[in-house]
Amino acid sequence: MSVLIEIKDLKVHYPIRSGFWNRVTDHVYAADGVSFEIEAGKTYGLVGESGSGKSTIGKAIVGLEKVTSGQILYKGQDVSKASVRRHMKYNKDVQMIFQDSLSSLNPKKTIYEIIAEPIRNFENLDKSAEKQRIIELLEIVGLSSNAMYQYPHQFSGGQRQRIGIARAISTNPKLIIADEPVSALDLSIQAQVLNFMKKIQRELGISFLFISHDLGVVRHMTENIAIMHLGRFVELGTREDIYNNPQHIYTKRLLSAIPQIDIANRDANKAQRAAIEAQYQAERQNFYDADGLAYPMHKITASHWVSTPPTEKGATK
Amino acid sequence: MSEKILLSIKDVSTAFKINGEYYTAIDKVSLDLHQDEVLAIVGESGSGKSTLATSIIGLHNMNATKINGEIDFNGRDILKLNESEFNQLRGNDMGMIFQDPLAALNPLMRIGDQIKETLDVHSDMTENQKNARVHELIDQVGIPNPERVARQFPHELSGGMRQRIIIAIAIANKPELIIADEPTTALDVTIQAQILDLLKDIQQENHAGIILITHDLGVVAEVADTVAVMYAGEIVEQGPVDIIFNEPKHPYTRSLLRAMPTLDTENDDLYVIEGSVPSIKKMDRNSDLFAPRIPWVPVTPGHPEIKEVAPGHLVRGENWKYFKFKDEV
Repeated sequence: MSVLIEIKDLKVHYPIRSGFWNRVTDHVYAADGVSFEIEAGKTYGLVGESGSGKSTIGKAIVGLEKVTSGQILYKGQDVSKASVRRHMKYNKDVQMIFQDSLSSLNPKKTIYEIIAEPIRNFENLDKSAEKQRIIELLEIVGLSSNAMYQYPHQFSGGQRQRIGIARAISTNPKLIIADEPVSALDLSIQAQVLNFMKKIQRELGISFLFISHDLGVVRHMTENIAIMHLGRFVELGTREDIYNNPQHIYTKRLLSAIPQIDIANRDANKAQRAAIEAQYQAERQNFYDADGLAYPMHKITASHWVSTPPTEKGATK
Repeated sequence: MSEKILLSIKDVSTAFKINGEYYTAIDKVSLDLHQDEVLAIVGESGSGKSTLATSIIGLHNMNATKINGEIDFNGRDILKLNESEFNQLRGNDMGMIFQDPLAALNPLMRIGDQIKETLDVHSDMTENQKNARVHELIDQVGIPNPERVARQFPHELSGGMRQRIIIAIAIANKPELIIADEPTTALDVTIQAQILDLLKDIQQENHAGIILITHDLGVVAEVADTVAVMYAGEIVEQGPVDIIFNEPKHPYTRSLLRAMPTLDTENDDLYVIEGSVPSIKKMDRNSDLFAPRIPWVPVTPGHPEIKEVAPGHLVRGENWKYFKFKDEV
């Protein structure tokens, strides 16, 4: 498979201003030296707690966040610059789905206007072809064509999220970044949206970068998973690598915290969780450098990368 | 779980006034909560689970709400109490934990003073005793350095820490009943696990009964002793936690469990429950409210009643006996 986007040593730092002159006194290291590749037609999960920088990375890839340093290479060009993005119509190929479907749709516009906007930005369709395309898109996301003339508030949460998906796929993108797309939805609606995203991913061959804190949903949705902590990747691998053979202490801690539907072994699970938490507190300094940040990752198998201290024997790169 | 019944809810219905007309939000709910029991109330948005909690703790505007039935708490019918009698109960015998810890704390008040507030109202301790109790409580909910934290303001604490403070306030007077409405929904998964373990520990120490309201089945499976599943304002299935997860009967319970992503669903589609929860104005209480979500099952006329199918296991209606999922028919 061919590499679609390559992210090289991406850093996004936010300045902290303080004092009388409002000078920059420090930085928040939201993303600090992140590198990975997105291949065409594959699904990627980006997992971390709040404040880990996972949304920052998503936003930086679509171009909603100013990159401090590093490169985002698409077709050999660095799209971290706005002029390059505009010139190569980058956002026709890379689209985003947001967490809060109500605030990401303009309440004063009809569904027709909302979906037509990205089409008008990148394509020159006449009125009837445009309408045809919108009817098609609504059909793909399972809404009737009457929906065109309605406003966002007239739809339920699940339907709105599907409208957000229709807008994202309207330009036939190659990559969709989905930032917590189901976190605000009820279980039965979540199932509907997830199925639906899987279906369009399969049928249209779109790559997905799925950003979430919910490890259950990520396991269901994606083949490749990156675990992020404090602005850096701590582990990267296939679904099997991460769930069956976690190496980093933070990954283990995150996995042990997922509530289990296993009533018979409830107390054993609780004890194991406490043991891993204790191990995490005790061994923390072995996995993080003097500033409390994760070490760079090293390859341990063809698909599996783990952040380890530079002196260990796994250091091949 | 002890034999002593702490809270007994009998045929409680709550209706809200919308444009001059009353609409039923919860319909004839009956439940018992024992001492030392964690009862989880599960349902989607609009199922009436939070309305049930606020009906118990008396947080409704009575000008626009009508509550019928009986809520028996330690031998008193609390629906018959007046406001000042109720205030004696709230915060002292009952504690409530809310979903959003930032909204539930006063941003202008120091943490210690907020915890002390409930002690001021409900106890006759001296100032020194209260301060000592505040530090003890902060320590009990697992926050290091209680003296310093007591002097801080809510914005200086993280989300998980704030939720611990809310728990400290709720347990300040060692209430017999704790109502927790989605206590971990706003928290990260690692913090969630810590808060759930903490709730369980506190319950065992204080011998309290906990009503845990949540939409997260994983949370239920981790902490609950008994479960009540609500749909459209009524309980559709109720029983011990292992029965609910291992031998669910009602079509709604089975549908919810099937919609959850699990280990074996990696490459399959998830089960989708057809349709949506009816709005409060459109609920026809003379019919089976879940029937429209399983249209392939023949409809039985009238409103199904909840019946005991095994000791402690209650299921509404009869159609669970022959219910099959669409792909199994």
